[in-house]
Amino acid sequence: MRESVCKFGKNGHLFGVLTQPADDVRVEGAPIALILNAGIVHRIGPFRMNVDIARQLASIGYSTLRMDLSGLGDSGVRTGKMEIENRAELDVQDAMTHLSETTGTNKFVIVGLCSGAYNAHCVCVKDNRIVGAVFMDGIVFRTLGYFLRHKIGRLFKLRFWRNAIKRRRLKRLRGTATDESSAFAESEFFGGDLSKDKVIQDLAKLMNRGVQMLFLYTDGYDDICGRNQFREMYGLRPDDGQLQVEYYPKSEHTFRLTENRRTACDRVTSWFQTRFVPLIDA
Amino acid sequence: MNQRFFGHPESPLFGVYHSAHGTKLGSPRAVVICPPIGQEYIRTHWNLRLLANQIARQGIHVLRFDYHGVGDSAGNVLDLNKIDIWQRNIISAIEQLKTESGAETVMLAGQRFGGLLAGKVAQIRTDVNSVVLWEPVLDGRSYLDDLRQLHREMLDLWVCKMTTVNSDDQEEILGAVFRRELCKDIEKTTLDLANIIQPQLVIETVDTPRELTCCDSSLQKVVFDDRPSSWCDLRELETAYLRPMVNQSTTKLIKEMFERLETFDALKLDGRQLAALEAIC
Repeated sequence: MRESVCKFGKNGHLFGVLTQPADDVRVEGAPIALILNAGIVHRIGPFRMNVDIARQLASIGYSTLRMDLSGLGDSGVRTGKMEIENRAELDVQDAMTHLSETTGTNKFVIVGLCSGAYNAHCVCVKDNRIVGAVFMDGIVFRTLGYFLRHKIGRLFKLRFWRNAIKRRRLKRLRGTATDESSAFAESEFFGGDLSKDKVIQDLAKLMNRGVQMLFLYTDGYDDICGRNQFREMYGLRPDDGQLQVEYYPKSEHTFRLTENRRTACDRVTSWFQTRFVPLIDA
Repeated sequence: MNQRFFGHPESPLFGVYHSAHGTKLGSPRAVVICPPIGQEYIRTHWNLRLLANQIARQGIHVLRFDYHGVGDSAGNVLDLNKIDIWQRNIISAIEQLKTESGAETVMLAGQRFGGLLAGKVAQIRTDVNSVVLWEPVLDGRSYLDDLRQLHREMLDLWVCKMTTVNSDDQEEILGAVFRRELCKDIEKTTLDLANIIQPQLVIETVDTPRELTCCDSSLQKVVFDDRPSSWCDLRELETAYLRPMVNQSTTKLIKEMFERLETFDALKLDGRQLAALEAIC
């Protein structure tokens, strides 16, 4: 495995780390994975998850670029009057153009967690070079099933009340600290203008284009409760093929625990291995 | 900003070099930033980038870098048995910055555990002209105990009953798995500021005052951050640590420290210091 710095974009203001496999394991003609920022965490990802994914993919022959969008991590800012979501799209397009020129690859798989998944969705729909996507805790819409299972169902769980009391006590002891920053992060990183109908249309478009998709959701995300919600939201039935959905009931949103992270990394790796080699061969 | 990998090719370290603004390459002023480790490293990344930019704007070369097993550098924390590899990483960063900037000596600026490591390195290197210690860890045992307490609190408030499985030789603390040997090594490590003979600037928080030792009170300046310390607050575990006002005042103080060091001709190594350095190398 080899890691190198990668500068691209106008005046080289964008930055990422390119992880390439050793020559003896390299999968020829395979797409390159692009990992986007989750919130304002720099390219290594929450709890260094992106580094784990990149190195694990390299061990089985795939290259990865974990990049900082403009204004995040170690990338410079993009000047101009573009909206935030356009800025992310332009950054990813710059990355793909650079990698096409330097590696000759013109196929990419985009990987994002939280706001990264939102950005991944926006780019994926617009750019035909993207042949696969991993959306971790991406765009969700609350359904009736969600309200019944989660909002009402949790009221009957002792642990919910226990944690609520403990959190309140903690807040009283230490004062409020996070509300302001959470509100900032949400408004800054989610455009919030994607309606359910639009997302359904987008997904249909991606399905028709043959884009391979893996959706990973965690219990910690709080806006989704169970794998069934995916079908309730989008009317699509996940399978073991083009559209795969996984729900981790014991995991936090940012995969805080090593075991949760390892499970997600293994899932992404095995998905990559099974979805792309046969396609390339075909 | 100039990002690069440096150090041993088998185990490269990732670094970002901020060249001094408005000066030619030969500016004698240079700072190596030693970040915290673990989740604190992620929380402080953006703030340290801003600090580095501000220092560079004062005509000072800056190198930020990641330790082995942290950030973009090679390896994993699980590879480590002792913290001395992180101290060696700081020495590699010092050498790298001296080569790139042409400076003969450097200032080390360390935050939290990075402060402890920087303080340790300053004690053995004659090419470290001064140190800035931002809420430095002074006692490894209480530092790890605080992290363990936070880890327990996190699991206690988990959505379901949750434990992390620790073995005889490994322990998981806040999303990272440490070898027991490394934990023991951290626990037995302490930093006594009185053993650092270089001028030192210490940044502390108002709400957690500590008794700080020093070898010469005229060489130690302590300043305070008005905002409460947030390292042991679970709700801040994934919140970016931003201190723009402290960055601003620290940058000003660093510039003043360099001016004084220059007055005393302390940015250059004399023959005795050079010989001592060569003996270590």
